[in-house]
Amino acid sequence: MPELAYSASRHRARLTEASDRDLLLALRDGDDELALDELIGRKTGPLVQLAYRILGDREEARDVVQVTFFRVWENRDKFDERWSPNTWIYRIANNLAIDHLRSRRSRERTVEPVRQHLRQVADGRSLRTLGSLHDGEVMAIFQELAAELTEKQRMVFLLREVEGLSSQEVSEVLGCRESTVRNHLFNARKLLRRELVRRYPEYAPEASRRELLEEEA
Amino acid sequence: MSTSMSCPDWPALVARRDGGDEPPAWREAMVHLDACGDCRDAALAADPTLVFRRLRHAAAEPAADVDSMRQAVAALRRASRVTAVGAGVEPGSARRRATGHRLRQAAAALLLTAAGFGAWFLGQGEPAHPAAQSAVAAAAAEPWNAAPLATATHAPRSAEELASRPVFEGLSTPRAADVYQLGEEDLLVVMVVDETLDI
Repeated sequence: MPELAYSASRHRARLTEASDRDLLLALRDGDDELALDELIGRKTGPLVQLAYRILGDREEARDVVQVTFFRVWENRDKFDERWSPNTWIYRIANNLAIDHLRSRRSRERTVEPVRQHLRQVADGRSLRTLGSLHDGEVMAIFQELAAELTEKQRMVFLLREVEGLSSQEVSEVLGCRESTVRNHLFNARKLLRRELVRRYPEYAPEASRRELLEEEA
Repeated sequence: MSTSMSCPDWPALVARRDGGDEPPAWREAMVHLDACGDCRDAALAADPTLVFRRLRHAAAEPAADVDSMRQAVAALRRASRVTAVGAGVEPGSARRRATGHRLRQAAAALLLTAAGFGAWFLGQGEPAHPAAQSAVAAAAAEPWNAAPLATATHAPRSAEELASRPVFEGLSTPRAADVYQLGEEDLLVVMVVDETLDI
């Protein structure tokens, strides 16, 4: 009887129970392609979401994530087990997304129609509140307002407020100090709040509108 | 209210956070906010940018997209063997090539199967070594990357190595393959069962 020498399905089943760190170690030490497959299965969703929030285009986000996994594979021998796996992968994705953002010049063109649509909707339904917006509308507003942020501010805001990373993790991803992260976060919130009130006063709370008027006065 | 924390004073909490140091209760307040409908408007009134926390609840990638991502990354890795890494890999084109590669894989597997059975059936002395078979498969799957048979891949050096790594690494389809061997020291027959092949 033939003897089973290697079973990909059994190996794959073992990998599903491995930690992210173990998967990266399997990549680094064993060139394990199935470990890469498992990693792709786990991280594609969160990474596409992150890149989508940065770029505002799902197709481009998927391209960035695709290259992220490719870079993970190409640099697998550089992974240090003392590092956080998430931080390492996020850092690669973040840098690629920023590079992509710099090379793109279509942001205003894609955002403006969305804004006009939202304004029309808001004009017709003045009783809507910020909390009642659909997720897609929130995303569109964020894409528009985030264009006013610097790259670092945008990344810090997304990683800290949306992805839920700690200040220390964000500082590791971006390669800066925690105090710098806090500064960027503070400024990002301030800018977003100001632009939200300025561009979408119908959604802004009364207190924020007063605050803006005082600031401008 | 559905969490243990009572509804916080949002204006005060946001003011403390904006004052410099994030209050220790901030993280707990965020968890509370996700669960407490009563707090939503009060929190947004204190800080409208909290609405962007909803971006985290966007829909996850469908499973089919994860599969296509796997294929696209595999295609990029194959392309990088031909083109120098960093010399401009085009992600979109790699994804489009993924489908074509599956056809080449199927052709390579057919070729491999025919070669293996031919050698075994005709009894022409020593059967083809798995390493050589692998090289044939690799050349068929990636004709642009064909290497001399002797150096295309290494022969398994031990039973342990054989068991720990797919024999047909050049075929690039280890994800679904089961490899059986008949015989122990002198490998006579190797059978590959690959659920991804539709023959």
